[in-house]
Amino acid sequence: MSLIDINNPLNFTFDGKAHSGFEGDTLASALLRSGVRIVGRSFKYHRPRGIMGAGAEEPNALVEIHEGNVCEPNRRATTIKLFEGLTAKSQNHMGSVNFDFLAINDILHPFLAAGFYYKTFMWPKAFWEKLYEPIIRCAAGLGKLALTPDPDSYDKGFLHCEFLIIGAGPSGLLTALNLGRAGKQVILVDEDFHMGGRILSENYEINSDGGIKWVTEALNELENLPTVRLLLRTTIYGVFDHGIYGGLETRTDKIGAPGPRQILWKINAKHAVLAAGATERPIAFANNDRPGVMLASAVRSYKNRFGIDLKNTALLTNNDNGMLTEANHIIDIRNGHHITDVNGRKGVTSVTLNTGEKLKADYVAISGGWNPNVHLTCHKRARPIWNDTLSCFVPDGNTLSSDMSVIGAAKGTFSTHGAFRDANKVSEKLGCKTIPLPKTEDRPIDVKAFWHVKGTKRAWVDFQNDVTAKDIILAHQEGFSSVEHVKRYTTLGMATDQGKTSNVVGLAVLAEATNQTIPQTGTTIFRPPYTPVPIGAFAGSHRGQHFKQIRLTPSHKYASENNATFVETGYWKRAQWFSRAGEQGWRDSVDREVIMTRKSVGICDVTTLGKIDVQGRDAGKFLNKVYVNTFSTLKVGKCRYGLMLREDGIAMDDGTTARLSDTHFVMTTTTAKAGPVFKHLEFARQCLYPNMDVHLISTTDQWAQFSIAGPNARKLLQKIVDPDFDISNEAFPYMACGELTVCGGTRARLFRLSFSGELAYEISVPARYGDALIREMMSQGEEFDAIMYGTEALGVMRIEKGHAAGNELNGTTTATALGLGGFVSKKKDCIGKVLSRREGLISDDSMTMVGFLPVKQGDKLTNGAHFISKGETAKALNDQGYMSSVAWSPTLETYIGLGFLKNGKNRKDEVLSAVDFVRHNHVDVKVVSPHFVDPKGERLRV
Amino acid sequence: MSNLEPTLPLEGFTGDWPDFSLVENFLGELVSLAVAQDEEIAFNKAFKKTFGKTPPKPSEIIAVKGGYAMWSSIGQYFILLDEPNIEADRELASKFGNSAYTTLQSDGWTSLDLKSKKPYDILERFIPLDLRAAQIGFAARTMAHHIAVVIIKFSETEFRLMTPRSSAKSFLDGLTHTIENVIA
Repeated sequence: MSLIDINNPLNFTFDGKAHSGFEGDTLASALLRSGVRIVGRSFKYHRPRGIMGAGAEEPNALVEIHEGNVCEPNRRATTIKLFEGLTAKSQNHMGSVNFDFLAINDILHPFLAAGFYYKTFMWPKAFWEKLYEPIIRCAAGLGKLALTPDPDSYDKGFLHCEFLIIGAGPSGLLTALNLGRAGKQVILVDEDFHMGGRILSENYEINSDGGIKWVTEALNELENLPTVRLLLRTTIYGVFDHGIYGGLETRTDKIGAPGPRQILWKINAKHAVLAAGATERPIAFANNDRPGVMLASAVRSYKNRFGIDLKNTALLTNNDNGMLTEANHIIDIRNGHHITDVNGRKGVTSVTLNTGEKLKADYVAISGGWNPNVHLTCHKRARPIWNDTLSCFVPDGNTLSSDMSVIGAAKGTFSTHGAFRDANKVSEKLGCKTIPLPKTEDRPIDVKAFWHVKGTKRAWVDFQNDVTAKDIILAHQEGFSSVEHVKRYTTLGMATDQGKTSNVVGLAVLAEATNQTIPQTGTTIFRPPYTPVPIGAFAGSHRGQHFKQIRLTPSHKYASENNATFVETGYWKRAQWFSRAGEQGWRDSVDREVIMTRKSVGICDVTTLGKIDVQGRDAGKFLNKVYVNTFSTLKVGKCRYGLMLREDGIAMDDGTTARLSDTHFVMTTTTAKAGPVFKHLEFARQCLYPNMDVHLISTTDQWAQFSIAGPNARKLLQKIVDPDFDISNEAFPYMACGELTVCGGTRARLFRLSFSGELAYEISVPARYGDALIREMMSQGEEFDAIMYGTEALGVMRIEKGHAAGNELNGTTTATALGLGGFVSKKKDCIGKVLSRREGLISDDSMTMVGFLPVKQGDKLTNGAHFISKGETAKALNDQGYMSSVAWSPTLETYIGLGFLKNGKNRKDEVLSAVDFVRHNHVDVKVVSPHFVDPKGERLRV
Repeated sequence: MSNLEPTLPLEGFTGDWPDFSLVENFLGELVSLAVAQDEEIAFNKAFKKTFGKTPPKPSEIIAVKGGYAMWSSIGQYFILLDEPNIEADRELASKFGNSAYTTLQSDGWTSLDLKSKKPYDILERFIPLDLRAAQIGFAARTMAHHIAVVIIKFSETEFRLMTPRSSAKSFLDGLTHTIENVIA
């Protein structure tokens, strides 16, 4: 009884040719049904390859799925669920899959053995970059990535359970039934689109009935158990710390289908039951890679599950399980027989036996024994151990993580009865009652280890990477005896299948070469992912607009309505400038905003500055520790500028802090450093000063804050602030702060601060009123020609004023370099103080922030230019410093710059070359004070 | 009275999908209460007097007089008050005296109410916590995709999601995208 719905045919194309299959088919089964033998070309030798397996182990049948201009390469045909309209193509050939020009590599194979890259392309040295590498890159690789954006969506999710059962074969299903009936939270996953595991592919009877019936009944019950969740087409690709399992669920193979194509699940499980089954392995003999040579288990899968009878099959087996395969010729290694060669370049036509006999055959079914799928046990550093009786690696209970159990074939229990028995045992261990064991087969596997038929021809070990037994022996001869070295020298076990069919055979061949046992030879470590995970799935929905959050200011809507151009500053979108009719470009807008602000009044949304409530009896003392200057003496109703250092003495951030009450300070940080400063403060609070009574909470989003700057700032504010509050210069001087109300009773805070150098204030209201306040202020400001200004004008004005900002607080500068050495209190200690006094940071030769003007009026300054003394050659050895910020000053009508210069404070009026090799702009500049506008600070105090 | 009209961060968003509804509501007032060092006894007394109950335990939200109280961090609670009162922090400060520090937080957050018969289909794609196993009255600060969120479980079909005001639009985009992914 197959699982194919012959009443539901599905049309598809392969390499442009129309075919049809049925609902329930994989692409591989549909191709076999259509008689397609060659499905791709091998990696290195470009030999014709056919389908070898029936599941995730498939090394050969890697294909591309196409839809329009989009292509997904390297998909295993054995795991693609057939759908109507599927367009698939073979890959890795020049010409057609039947006539590949690069098959010349197969003729040249004596020159292309393992390690040929390392030996062949050494000389002449100059050829590597221009000749060898381009040719190799052109020829290398399997499928080709589409160069168009991925049209599909992906998603991520989080699942939680007590028990994660990995694999829904007989052992997994029975465990899920036991645990589910006991009311345990269970997630049962299987990578296939039908649950049932090998039962679907064999003719086993269970309870005197077909195995599929038992599977169907089990699934029906499981679907109705409220605590059990079934995840089809979900591969657990990795096991991580703290009981976290990575699961990739494939919802559809169709490109461009609605909804997410795949979902990456992060599964938190208290305990995992690994019931992942086993993978049959091939045997290495001459030309064992011919199309038509398949795993015996796959031949049975295609017959029993998909209803495809692969006629005229020769079976080569070393175990009883292989004997389940219907075949015209049975070659049992245990009787001393084996295959020495396979004939038929584009498809098997016959096999030659060690007796010399030649048998006609269209397919060869190989069973070299079974490898338990122990991969996931290794992700937490468990090491499998060799079992001589079973000729395979099995999980070692001594190294296995205590939150994982392994059952069934994954443990080396190869009979169905044994799998059921394991399921009941583990269920009891996990505290659940069990159901009576279903009656089914209990055959021993009876395997005789047999790995490799020696001979002069190439015998494939790793089909995906074209690694032959000769390559492994050659690697050993050349000194690579460690399995890890052999892997890297030959590429054995790499690429998309990660050696699922090749690793153990490769080890055995190496063991023979080194005259060691397999356990002595060792094993490579399995690492995540078990099967490939698309990058798109890792990204999930975090792409495009969802890639990162966007933070909007309270005036964003108003700014949008008034032609703002926005710029990203961290996550924030800030208005960069506001265009007006007739302006030719951004400079016109910015110049206008600067001039209008300095002439009358301008408003800027500064909500993005970090705002941190610092409260507690020890808040002042705490601030003394994190700032270089003293805050405990700050009077209530006053603000103070503060500079914060990192532990290493480098300037971290600056800002003003206001004192609203004895126990309440409001700190502001730069926009960029709001998060890092908060973390820094929390670290200091919790770890450095845990005995202080101090509490921190971010209020950045709570308050909408606007800077009102310019000679008419106070006049404008007096129309906003309620009349009960006196904000005259006398009552509310420079650096004053206070809580008041605006616009007829709205709660607000006012700070008299200036970044622009003008008479300026910052006013804040609860963010719910932010939009209304900006509209009200602009309306009230009409009589002063009030304007909104953006971050560009803000930047120009701060450079004109000589204030350091992000460009200067760049992680390399000190308080001294910033001209703020005098701020560092000598009376107290603070974070970073000791290391800020390092000799190299305070020597006369250390960098100091100064201003620069072009010597020639009109010369443009560029940010990042390096200063070279006149007459010196422009080279690193002569570097005197660098320009950190430049702007066109509409106030001074010249370019101006801030920068860092060695011994800058003593080099006033010196002329230097500002050399910019990036923009090819070299100009002479004069060293000046960084305070270009109102150096005495008179404007901001009026 | 203020002449300024308050606005909601998402302008009162409402969205309906088959089986899901999402509505932005006025949060009420949110005040954080930080317990002053060595003042726990006085704080607990003031809490009981003010709200009629003992403070909530970690990951818990409880109904109290005037609204809800939620554990938000070690030594810190969020008080969600039903009625608008922009002076709520000051009023609470006067009731708690030296035992706590208050901060108005109402405007820092956006509140979205998710109602659905199968809310977990959405939430398991959005929030890393095991909300199925969470008790009614569970509240926690966590992440939704990469944006901060406070999630409150009011019932098996009703959840409140509170997210910072400035990134509320991105949060809503992420949530609606997730809903659309689930129903696709």
